Amino acid sequence: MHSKHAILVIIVAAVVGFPLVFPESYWLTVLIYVGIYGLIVVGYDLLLGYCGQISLGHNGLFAIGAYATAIATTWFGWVSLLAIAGGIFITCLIAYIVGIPTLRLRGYYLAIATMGFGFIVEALIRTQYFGGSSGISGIPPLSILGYSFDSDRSYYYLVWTVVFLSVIVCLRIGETALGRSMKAVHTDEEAAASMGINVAKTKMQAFVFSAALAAIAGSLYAHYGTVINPNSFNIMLSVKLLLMLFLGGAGSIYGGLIGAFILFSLPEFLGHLERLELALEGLAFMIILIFLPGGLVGGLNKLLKLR
Amino acid sequence: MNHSILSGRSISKYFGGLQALSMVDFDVENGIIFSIIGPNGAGKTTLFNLISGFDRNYEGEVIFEDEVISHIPPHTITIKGVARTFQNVRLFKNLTVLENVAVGCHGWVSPRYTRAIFGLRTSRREERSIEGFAREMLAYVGLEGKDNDEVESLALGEQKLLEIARALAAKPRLLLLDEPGAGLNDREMDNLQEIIFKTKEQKITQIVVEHNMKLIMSISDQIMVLNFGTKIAEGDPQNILNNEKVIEVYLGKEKDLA
Repeated sequence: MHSKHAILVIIVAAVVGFPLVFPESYWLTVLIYVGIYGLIVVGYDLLLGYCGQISLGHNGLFAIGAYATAIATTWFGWVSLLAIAGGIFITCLIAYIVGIPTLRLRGYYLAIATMGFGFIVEALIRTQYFGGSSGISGIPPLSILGYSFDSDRSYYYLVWTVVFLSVIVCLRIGETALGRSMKAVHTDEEAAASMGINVAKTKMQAFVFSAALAAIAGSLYAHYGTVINPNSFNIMLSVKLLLMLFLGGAGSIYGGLIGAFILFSLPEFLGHLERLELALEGLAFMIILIFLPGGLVGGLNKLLKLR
Repeated sequence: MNHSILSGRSISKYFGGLQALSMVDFDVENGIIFSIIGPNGAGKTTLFNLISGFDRNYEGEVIFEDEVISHIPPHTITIKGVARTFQNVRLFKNLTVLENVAVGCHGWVSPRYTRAIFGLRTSRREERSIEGFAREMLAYVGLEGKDNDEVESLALGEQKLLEIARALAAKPRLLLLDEPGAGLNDREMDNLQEIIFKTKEQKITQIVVEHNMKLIMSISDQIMVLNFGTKIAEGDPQNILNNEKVIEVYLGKEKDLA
């Protein structure tokens, strides 16, 4: 591991160590959700931080992953792994179909079009065909080859293993030729094309890849909560993804994990100020964008002169 | 005996009612330096945009190595062997100097997700070969040692050279240089000329759009003169210098300026 990823090493150590020190802590649950949402942000960073393509429809992709897994296991009795694979497949397929017309758009047109997609998914899962507003309940715990992840601790390690594997994969994508071509597309699409980069394909791959991670996160979410309903998948989720990404640092891959942690732990500390949660998050967002465009990871790296 | 690497057949291009190019025909022989000159707005950059596939909405045909490339998207044209630079430098500002050149290697590397995810060794080897070649190209234009610099810390002249290095990293057989000399001082101009000659020795055909007549006259094997989208003359430098029509619409004016 390179020294420039010192922050990542610290995150891994903290995550691995936490349950050893506080085995019964309520925070395990909080951190599981941090991991699940962090997983979406990791993929989202490739799309937005690297490739420069905004999506406000990731709540829809997350929902498809979650509902596909929930339906496959609960209604059709599929085993977990198969259900998750099915969820990834269908989410990627839908992302691909949605990506064909929308990824041609740029800037806020893309943001609005993907937001439209998110609304469509949200409206669909509110219909009776998908359980209506009470959603789907009785989702069995995740089990792999007979081992059931039914304790918080085992689920915690499962989620974070997936998260860190994804971080490694995304770093490898981001720090090699693919990542450079995404950054090239980010800055100047025509110049990128003149370097032999298929701009449409580069965007599509990043979009579908991020959809796959959102789908995995959705599956993990469904299995953990055992109940899912449409309220968890509205536009606020996509907004929060943006917040997590820029809070932690776009283009750093793992910065979003810190962003997710802050966003999820904030309410725990607020106590009776809970009503101010959104206000404080908004304020944090503004301050970060104005003073720390590289996010917390970018700021820390600058401070420690790691890059 | 030298057959042409690039040809244009009856190329016409309109922007609304304005005719930017009108029935332009040309043949570029393999291995030469072919220059395009003419007043501003003559259609030079427009022609570059058609050749490189940025603009595919035109009449006529562009033929590269015996293949019509008129309706092929730009990245495919680059992969086929045509690379270009831009009149206004268009580097990737979010990448370092070396990374910019590495992006140029994209066409012949064609990186894949599966390789990045599963092929640890292959992708490392791939990165090493990209890095090696990119360094070679940087040294080729005289920018060695600037690997990790930020693009914006380079002087304009260096940025122009970096664009050439980036284009050469694509291993083209045809290189389009859009005003490579604009904004360069005398020393940088000499350096540029040397790079262009060196590139010719590599058997890479070059098409150069340029206003600096001193550079044009010393490097060109063949010159095409455009005026208001029409080809008004074509020939070797001596031929063009003595062409009355060219003197009237272009060179005369340049001399007045001098």
